[in-house]
Amino acid sequence: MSNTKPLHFLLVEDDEDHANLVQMALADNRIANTVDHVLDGAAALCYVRREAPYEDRGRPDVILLDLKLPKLDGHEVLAQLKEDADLRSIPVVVLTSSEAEADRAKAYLRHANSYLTKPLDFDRFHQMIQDLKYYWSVWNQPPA
Amino acid sequence: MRYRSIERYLSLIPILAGGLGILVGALVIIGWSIRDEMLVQIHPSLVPMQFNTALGMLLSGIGLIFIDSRWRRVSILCGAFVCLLGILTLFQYAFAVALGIDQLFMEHYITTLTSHPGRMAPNTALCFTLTGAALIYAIRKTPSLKYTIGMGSLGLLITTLGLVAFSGYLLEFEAAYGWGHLTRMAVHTAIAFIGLGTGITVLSIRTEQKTDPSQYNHWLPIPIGVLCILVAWTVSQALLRQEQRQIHQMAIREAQSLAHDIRESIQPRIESLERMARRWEQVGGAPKERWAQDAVTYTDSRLGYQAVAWVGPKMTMRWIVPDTDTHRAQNLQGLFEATSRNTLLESKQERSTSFTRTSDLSQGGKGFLIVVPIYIGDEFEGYLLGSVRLNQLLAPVMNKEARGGYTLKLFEESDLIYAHTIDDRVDAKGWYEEVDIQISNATWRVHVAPSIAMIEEFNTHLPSVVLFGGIIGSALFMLLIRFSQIAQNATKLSLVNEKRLRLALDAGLLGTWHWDIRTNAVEWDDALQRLFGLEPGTFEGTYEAWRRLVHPDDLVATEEAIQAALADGPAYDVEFRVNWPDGTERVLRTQSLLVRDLDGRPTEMIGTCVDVTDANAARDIIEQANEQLEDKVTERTAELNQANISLARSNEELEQFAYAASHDLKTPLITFLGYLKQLGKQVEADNKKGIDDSIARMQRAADHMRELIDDLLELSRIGRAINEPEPVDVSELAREFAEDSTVLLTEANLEIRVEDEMPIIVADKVRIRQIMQNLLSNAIKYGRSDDGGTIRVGSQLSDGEVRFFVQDDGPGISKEYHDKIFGLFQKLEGSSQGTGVGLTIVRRAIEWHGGRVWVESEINQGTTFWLALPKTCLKSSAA
Repeated sequence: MSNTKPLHFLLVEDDEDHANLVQMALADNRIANTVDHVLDGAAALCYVRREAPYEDRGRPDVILLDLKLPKLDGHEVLAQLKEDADLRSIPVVVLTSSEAEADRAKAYLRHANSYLTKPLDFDRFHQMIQDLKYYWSVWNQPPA
Repeated sequence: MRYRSIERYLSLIPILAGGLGILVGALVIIGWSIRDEMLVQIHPSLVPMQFNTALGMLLSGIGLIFIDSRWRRVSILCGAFVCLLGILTLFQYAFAVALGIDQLFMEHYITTLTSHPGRMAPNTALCFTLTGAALIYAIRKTPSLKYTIGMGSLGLLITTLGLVAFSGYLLEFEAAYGWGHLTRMAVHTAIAFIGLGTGITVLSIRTEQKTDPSQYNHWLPIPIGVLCILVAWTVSQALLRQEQRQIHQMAIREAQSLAHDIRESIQPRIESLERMARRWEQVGGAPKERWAQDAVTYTDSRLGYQAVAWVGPKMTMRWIVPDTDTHRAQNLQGLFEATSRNTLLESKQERSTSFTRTSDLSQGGKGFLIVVPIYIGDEFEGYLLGSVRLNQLLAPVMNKEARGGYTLKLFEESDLIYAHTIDDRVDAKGWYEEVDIQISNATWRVHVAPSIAMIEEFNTHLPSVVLFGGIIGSALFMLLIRFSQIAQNATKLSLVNEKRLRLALDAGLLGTWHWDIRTNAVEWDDALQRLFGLEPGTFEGTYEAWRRLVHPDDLVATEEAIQAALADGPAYDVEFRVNWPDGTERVLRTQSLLVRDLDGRPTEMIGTCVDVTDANAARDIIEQANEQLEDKVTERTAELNQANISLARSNEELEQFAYAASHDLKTPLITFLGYLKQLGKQVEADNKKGIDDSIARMQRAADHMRELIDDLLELSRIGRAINEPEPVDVSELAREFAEDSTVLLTEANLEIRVEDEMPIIVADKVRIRQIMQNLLSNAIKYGRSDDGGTIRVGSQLSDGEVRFFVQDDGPGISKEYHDKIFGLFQKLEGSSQGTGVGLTIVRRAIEWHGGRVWVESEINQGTTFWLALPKTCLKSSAA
């Protein structure tokens, strides 16, 4: 287990309350060193491409992506990320309240690295975050 | 309509036969007139056709030709004349009289094989009698089976007589064409009679029979045929018997003649010997020299005695001439036989001349003695004996030239004493005849048989010819009757069929026609003439007449169809219009079949025609109905498609709703539960600030939840909760909203400007108000620039629609979101207020009114929401 390198998360979530809950969960579990939060898909793409107003932001190690987003929805963001040769290697964890099979299939088809549904039970959410931490630290260490 | 049939050809035969009669008769008459023997006789060795025969032939021919025409009287006159001619000629033959008719018209200078110059042969006369009878009979009788039998018999008899005569010429057998020694039938007469007879026979098959032929017995021809054969056999047997009787009579005549000749040749011998005896008796004895002188005279060859002798009363030979020992011993040898002695004694007792029995003479041959007793008073002086040699006696008699062909025999009692045999076979067949001769005490029997050659000469083939001809004639007659029955049956059937066909044609109002292309004759039946609006019988019967009746506009196309059929088609089928004389226009359809000859040239066309005016009208109506039906179907299909589309949309909306609900309805719940969990931790940690924050967030989430549920309920009410349409003033609704939202507007530094003159529409006022509220509150929430702005509400009439707009001068909406914003739970900004249901409600409500909604906007150019309703919603048009 390598905890030496700090993890940088990008959270794409239009709902402030949800974003807050996710950030609290990440903090409780000491998974991420830094979590940046954007409200819609278009902003997320600007962030990873380091366009205004995110020129100074670093490349995220993991993107937590909601699907239901204003302006550009999560599927479209995922598609654009995976089509971009530079951004393709960033792991994307889809984090959504949608349990629709169509959404899950569509996400995996677009090479989402993981698909997590927002649970109503926050104990399970914490467990999920724990699993994510383990998963990434052991197996999915992105190429440096 | 008449169709070509075998009857047509059959009806030609009597005409051809009549023509043959006329030709032959006319040629011979010309021949007699210009003295051309070739025409009269054909060959000098042949019998000429008599002038009367030629005349009869000519008239028979004329009679036959006119028999089925309008001039039937000509036939009767000709028949009567010919019949009379035949009867009178037969009468002349039968009663051996001359009525002066034979050379009435022409002096006959050719008499080859003619018994009476100018008189036709008896068989010719018979033929004429029959022909004349047939000609008269044919006119007077209506066709029936009796007629057929009568006429057929006459015709066949004439044909048979002609055939027999003609076959006689072919087989060189004279008895066939010449009866006895009478005038012969000429060869061309025979041929002409074969023709005439055939013509008359064919005439017997008349099929205009109207009676029911089913009553006829199909076996009828057999008894009639058998009867005819029986008659022919009887006649032939009678003829045979007649011939045999002639032969026998000839033999009897010959035998009698022979007997007579024999008697004649013996009588002088007896008389000469008796004269010697009488002289002896008168003189009272004879000196030997004188007796011998007489005896020598009698023994010369002419009188035929071999020897003459005087035998004394004691039966002793006294004198003999010629007086030689040989004769003495030989010639009188028989004197001492017992039979001869008895003859002598009988002769002495009876005092009459006697014959001894014939016996062999010593010098060869047979002979007998004639014995004459000599009495002077009652004094018996002895016997005079004459020895007769049979050969010598009979040779002159037998050798008569006329007897050359006969076998002659002479019997004394049962002894054959003389035979002149030609052929023994004849005797065996019983052809001989016998006659007895009684001379003195001798009884001879003359036996005569004709030679084979003579029998054959008499034994003609006539009986065979009669029998053979009779059988053939009978067979023909049977066939004729059968054929006639069949023809009559066929006629009946064809009558019935024609009636059926007529019925069928009438029922279908079907006309038929027949166009003989070669003669251009056109036959129409009554039905067809009616189809053309003509009175039956008034159609002129030509192609041109048809042309005039066809509608001029259709003539070219119709004639093209006919020409095409004539050129290479077997048929055509065309419709054309005709104008009836009363001005009615009808449409006729004709279908035809083309008949071609063997060379492929079209000869005739037959066809049917039917009036299709009404059928066409009915067809048009049906077609129109079909078209309407199709339109209806198309319309309904479109409606169905529309319904399908809206159903699909409603399904789509339902899916969208389910999806959105699963996400959007869950979102506040997740928040609520998430912070509830946090709240627990914060209470534990006594984190006051955290507790307040969590409670506030939970409160917001619950409020949002309620908001969502309210909007969804509102959405679901559209289309279900229907209010009565009423006049709605949109400008008034906008002003009401503006008044209710005064505080809000003032805070946001916004102003709502509503146009004064806006159309009044008839609609569900509750929904229209909802639409206006949603659009205006959206404009207040999102259409506001930082420094406030103006919201305009107005209207427009264009493209058959009445349009309203709500316009702000806010930040505008990027084009890519123009459609998306009407979707359920679609929000442009995640953090913004609202549920994302408002515009969905607007769209559904306006569409429920039959209208539409869309947005026109650009970034920083403000946003205009358009509502369009059909003009039918205008109050004025509704009123």
